[in-house]
Amino acid sequence: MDETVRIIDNQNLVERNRVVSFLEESSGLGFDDDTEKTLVLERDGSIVATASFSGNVMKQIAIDEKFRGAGLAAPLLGETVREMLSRGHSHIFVFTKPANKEIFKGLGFRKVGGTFTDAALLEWGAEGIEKYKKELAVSRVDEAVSASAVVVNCNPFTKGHRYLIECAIRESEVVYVFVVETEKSLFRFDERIKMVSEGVKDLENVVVLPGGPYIISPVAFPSYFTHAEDLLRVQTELDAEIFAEHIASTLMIEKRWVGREPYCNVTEAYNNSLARILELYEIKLNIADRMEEGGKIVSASAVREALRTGDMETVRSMVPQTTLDYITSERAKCTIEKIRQTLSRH
Amino acid sequence: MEKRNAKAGSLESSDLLVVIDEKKPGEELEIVMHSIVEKQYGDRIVEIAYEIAALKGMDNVRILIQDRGALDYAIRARIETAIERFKKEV
Repeated sequence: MDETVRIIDNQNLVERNRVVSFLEESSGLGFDDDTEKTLVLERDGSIVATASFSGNVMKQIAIDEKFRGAGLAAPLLGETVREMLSRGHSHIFVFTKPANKEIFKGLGFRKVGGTFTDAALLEWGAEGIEKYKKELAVSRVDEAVSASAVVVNCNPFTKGHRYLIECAIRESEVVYVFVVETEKSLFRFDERIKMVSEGVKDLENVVVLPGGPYIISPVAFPSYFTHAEDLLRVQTELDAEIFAEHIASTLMIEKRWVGREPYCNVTEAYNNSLARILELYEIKLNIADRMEEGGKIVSASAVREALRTGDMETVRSMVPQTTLDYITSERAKCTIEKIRQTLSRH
Repeated sequence: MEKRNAKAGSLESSDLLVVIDEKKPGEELEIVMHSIVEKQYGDRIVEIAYEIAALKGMDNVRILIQDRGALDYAIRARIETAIERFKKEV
């Protein structure tokens, strides 16, 4: 019997289709377009198990039913970790059913979340949630009796974001503003966090923090960015649980503020799941109504659309002066050009 | 965002995987160790890692050791190999 673990050439359609069929037959999984590398375990030339990754997330893991429990997964997953490291991904994440957690734990994966949900998030590497919490604790405003949090992408920072933060600060002594760190938006993270910092500079007791790897990102919540119709409720809940269990507890956050989302089903579903999980941790979810300007709801996507079409009047009505200063500056030229030429909604 | 690293070993049972990353200038040597026999041998594994790192003049790096119950000489060999590879790589 000949058993080998092999890396598949995803560009080779014949190879790729073999994996696609195997995934579908063995576990009903699809093959994502953004898949970076795929590994297969073959026995006498037939695929019996596979694993892939994109960025630092391991995914599309499947094993032939006939071989489950035979210890085949561990060598394949071990090789996948090594391959991810070779590609420079040193902090590795995987979503899995709670039942499969032990296989990963045996390889050194550690649980991040998944107590109240049907999926667990595990991580591998020298970085980890405990270390992140220690770093986060440095930003804690210790004398504050009540703290709340908002999570924002700010692509770009609008008057709506500012309004949400103002709502939060009216009811708390300190507000932690987490800026999503993942680079899936037209404005880069360094631009977004700069616009936020500038935009709240005059407000006291507002602490702007980078979202890090555990705040809404494709890792914690991939569907937010793809707007996939088959939105996975469990991932939302997992994200909420990680926020409550690790982040809110570290910073003593007792309220989270979100904006009402009238058009976007994904955000609506997200808010509902968020409320359900936060309640378990006795964290209150407050939903602020969206700000309107000249009969139109202020949103970052409306600003991007206006930037695309060159409608500077709308841009001016929806963003604070600090953001306007940035987007009309020399430094933002590249990003603005990108917005004009792209069809991406994000 | 992703940094260069060097590694040696595997996640097979009775083996260990050693990963070395460069740290930011001015940062100290850091050793992170996870082992299935952490309670019994954890301190010893970290001790070995510090010893070899000192011998090879490694500072300003992070050494991750993911151990699955390897023997003493295997641990030494893997750490040394990872360091040699790291020196070639960077």
